[in-house]
Amino acid sequence: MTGLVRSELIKLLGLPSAWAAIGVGLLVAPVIAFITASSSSSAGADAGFQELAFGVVGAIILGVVAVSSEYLAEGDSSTGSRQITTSLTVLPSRTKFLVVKAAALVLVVGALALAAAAATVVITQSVLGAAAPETGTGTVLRVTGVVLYWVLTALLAAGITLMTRSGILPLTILVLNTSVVSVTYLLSRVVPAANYLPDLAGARMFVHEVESSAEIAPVTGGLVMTAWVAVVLVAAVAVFRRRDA
Amino acid sequence: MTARAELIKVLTLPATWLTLLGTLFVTVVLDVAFIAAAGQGQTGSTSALDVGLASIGYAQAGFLILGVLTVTSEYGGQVFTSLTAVPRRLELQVVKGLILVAVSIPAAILMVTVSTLLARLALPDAAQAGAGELLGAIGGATVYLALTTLLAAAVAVAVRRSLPAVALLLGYYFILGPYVRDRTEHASFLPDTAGYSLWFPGGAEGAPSPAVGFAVVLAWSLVAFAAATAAFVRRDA
Repeated sequence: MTGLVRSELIKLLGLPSAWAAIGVGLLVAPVIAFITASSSSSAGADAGFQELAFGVVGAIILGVVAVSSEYLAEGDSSTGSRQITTSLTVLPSRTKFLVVKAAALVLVVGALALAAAAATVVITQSVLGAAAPETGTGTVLRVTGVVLYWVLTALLAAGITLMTRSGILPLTILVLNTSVVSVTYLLSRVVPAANYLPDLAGARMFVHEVESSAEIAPVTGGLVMTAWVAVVLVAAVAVFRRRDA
Repeated sequence: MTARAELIKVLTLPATWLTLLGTLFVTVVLDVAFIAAAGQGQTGSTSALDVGLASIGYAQAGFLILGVLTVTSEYGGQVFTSLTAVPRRLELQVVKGLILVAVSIPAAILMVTVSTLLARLALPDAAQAGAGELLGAIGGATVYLALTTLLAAAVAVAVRRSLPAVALLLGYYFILGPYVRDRTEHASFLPDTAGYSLWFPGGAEGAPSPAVGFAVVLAWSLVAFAAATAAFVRRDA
């Protein structure tokens, strides 16, 4: 099993897009947090953490390319062959294949999220000084929330990509939804139930000052998001097991 | 001949229709959401035209994807056939760009018209735009969406892969662009922010005139497409 996870790690980290995604994930949140912290005198309780909700775009790309790279047949000298055929020849058990792929993705995204969150917290603290959110057990819990949020978002992206077999749709949905005014946020202002969509609920794990029509505790938010991701993954696995790769 | 061939290629691509129909569907859903929000007094603007145009900011994602996919669909091996049939690369590339603009214009007109009319009919009590203002907004938005499609195609020619091109464009238009827009006034020379003054009459204060916005967007699209064409002419497919 370890060997299989290792092979999936090699596949994932052999993708140039994966490294681009890691770069994006490492840079976006700390850089935006730095600019925001240096340009504003008053900082909210969410300084730094708000930015980590944008940084998740790196995790989204990783989740998408981890799966879409198996199906993509592009390039000037492409012959239209797909890596998935080789992957399933090597490891014919489809469930096992998905488990090791997910494990590799969780490892990479988890490490990325931890590094990005740590960097953002350190930057926010050093720029804002006393005005920064207090550090303590709360910070550790919130950073854990960030890591969970990024990992779950990457799994969500991978699950959708597995169903569509193309990265365009999941990438569009998820990136549009990371925008400054996200689609789900707009919806939540019209339909209060939209607060329980995965991204809005999950962000409650680390963003505390939310102007919203529903109160959701951090743990509840995390559980709601986990439930969404579980449903999508179960559906994706069911589809993948039945169809012809 | 090249034009006819390129038109057939674009229109027979399932991705073209899936993208455009998907965009239309999402645009209408967002229109309904924006209209509902306006009905509850939750939108910044009370003008029916502003509410109707609000969805276009999201609909542009569909046009970005259209521009990328028409180009990258060549890179599954088809580009060799295309270049065998039309070895004149400059002609092939320019015709492809023109056809793409020609396809995106009717699609844009349809989406903008549907959005603005929906808001107009659903919000009879809101401030209504005159016919001239309405046509101006529909025209401005259509021109913006067509030029943005061309810009996306140019990026796709440079990258030659659909996912990286889409990620770059969406990351810029939906994350980096809006972020920069809120922080510096120089942003009005960027293609997305300049576009707002072209198609969103109720936009930010101190925004350049629609004519300046048009000139900026046009310049970005043409320069990008020229650079992409130069690359395509020089490199190995």
